Amino acid sequence: MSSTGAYPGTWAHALVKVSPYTFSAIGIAIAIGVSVLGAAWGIYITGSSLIGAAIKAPRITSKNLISVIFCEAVAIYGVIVAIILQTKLESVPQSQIYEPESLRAGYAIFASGIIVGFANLVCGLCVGIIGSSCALSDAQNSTLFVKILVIEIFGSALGLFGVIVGIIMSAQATWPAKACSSGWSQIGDGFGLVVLLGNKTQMERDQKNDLDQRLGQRIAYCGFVSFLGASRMLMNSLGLCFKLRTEVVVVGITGWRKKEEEEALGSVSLGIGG
Amino acid sequence: MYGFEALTFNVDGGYLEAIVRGHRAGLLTASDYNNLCQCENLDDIKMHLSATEYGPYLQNEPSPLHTTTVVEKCTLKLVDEYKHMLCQATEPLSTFLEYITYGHMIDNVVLIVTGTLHERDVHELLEKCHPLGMFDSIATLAVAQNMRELYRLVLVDTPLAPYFSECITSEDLDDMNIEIMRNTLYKAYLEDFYRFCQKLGGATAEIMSDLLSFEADRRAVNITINSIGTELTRDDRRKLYSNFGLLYPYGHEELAVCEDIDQVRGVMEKYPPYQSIFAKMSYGESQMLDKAFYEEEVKRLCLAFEQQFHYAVFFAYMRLREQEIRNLMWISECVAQNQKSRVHDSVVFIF
Repeated sequence: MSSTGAYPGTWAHALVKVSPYTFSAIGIAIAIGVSVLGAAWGIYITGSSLIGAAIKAPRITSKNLISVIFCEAVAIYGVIVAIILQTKLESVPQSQIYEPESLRAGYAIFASGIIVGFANLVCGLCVGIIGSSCALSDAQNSTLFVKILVIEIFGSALGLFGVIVGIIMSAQATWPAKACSSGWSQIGDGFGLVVLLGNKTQMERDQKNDLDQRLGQRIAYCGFVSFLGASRMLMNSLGLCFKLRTEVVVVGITGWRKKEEEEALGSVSLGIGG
Repeated sequence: MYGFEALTFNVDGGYLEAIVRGHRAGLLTASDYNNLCQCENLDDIKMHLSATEYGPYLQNEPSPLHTTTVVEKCTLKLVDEYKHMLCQATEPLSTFLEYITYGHMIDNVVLIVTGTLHERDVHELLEKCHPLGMFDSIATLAVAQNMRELYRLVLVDTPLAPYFSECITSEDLDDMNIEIMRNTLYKAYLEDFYRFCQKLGGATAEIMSDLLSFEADRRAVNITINSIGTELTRDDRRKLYSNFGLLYPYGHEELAVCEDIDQVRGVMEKYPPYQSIFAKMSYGESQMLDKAFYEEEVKRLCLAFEQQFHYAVFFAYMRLREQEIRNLMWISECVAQNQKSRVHDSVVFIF
């Protein structure tokens, strides 16, 4: 029976036997890979509209590069977090790879990577779609640019939220200290376990293994709960992203039409008088 | 999935959508129309138009200007813009853009066939055709004697071929049959376009179905009013109505039995969107109906621009531009015939 105590032959056992290095490496890959996907997606959405709109209204090009810069920032967040995460990776001795604390560190890096990756994905999409609407509205009426830019700034805050939470998660990634396999430096205080070094009788070792087993399961569970919480936060930001898209277009076009109507009313009254 | 087109629309359509929105910003505004309505002669009109986007097209025209020249050059601008967009478009946008011109093709076919029937010269007729609806073998239409030949010689190679299945008869072409043929073709075209837009799905399907339904309903009303007092039977009339739209199927049943305009008004006032149109006209008056329909159409077309990431903006832009050319034609005619008081009878402002 492993130290985290799932029975051999079950899926739970297979899951806890996946090396924490695997999870960490995948987390780091997702942090940078999916962030860059989000940034690229946002840049092409905004860039194609910007190029087309700039043919008739060349003045918009320099100002609207801000939208592209906001999308680019998302990729930079991903790079930064990936670099931070990879500094958290440490080697532990063979015997300690499947210790609960190693698994916790592995899951923490994995969760951090997923948090940052997917938050940046939706942030890049959000900023890209708003940037496209911003370019088109600016081409029609230049007073709209700053107003829609404010919406874009709110959108880019989503990526920042992801980075903050990801960095906080990664601070939890503490690998076990390099000591002998039956030694622990400290455990969560709620369990009140006293750690003893040195030789134990078989019975005491078995007892400790049972307690370790339950503790390990609880720690694995905490890792997954934090992952779920992070994904829920991402779903919220996805919803915010799409809500913002429709609001952007409505605000933009309402402002433009109002201006046209005012002009038209002014000139119709002139026509009647003149 | 409706609502997520923003994620992938810009791959193929982002550039062209931005271009068509730029063109839309170049439509004439109310102040331009005011200036044009106050012109004294066609040279003034040319001068005012040279300050707008029509400038490069009109500046090389020699001085005794005709209204047909003005309209022709403005149409040329529309055709150039359309061809530019068609070159850049990929599927399915290119098919969509081609669908927009089939209506003009149908009009051109009917024009040539009618003209031939009245013994006009083919070249003269070709010059009157709308440039957006030209196709290669159009001159051969003058040879055909009845619809079967028309189809077999010319139309089987055009995109209009599938619309002919409902109206091939061996009867000779005369005025009545030509009008029936035009309306049958147009009905098949609208239904085909509607099906195509439904297949595209998303925002395109929703907005285009609204615009095409309005078109179908407008044509139903026009067919009804134009066939009052003619020898078109009720069943024939019913066959010309499209099978979609707000009026389908119950409104069509009622319209098919209408015998005068007040009955038509009675039918249409049951439908709230059309009630406002008919409310603008007092009883017994039908000349303003065309203008009321155009105003409603322009309002709906402008609304199509409120949403991003769909194809209906292209359709809306083409129609708005055609409306603008109609406005210019009316203004030029009024100015050339010195009847400036009637200018506002038929000009529909596009905001």
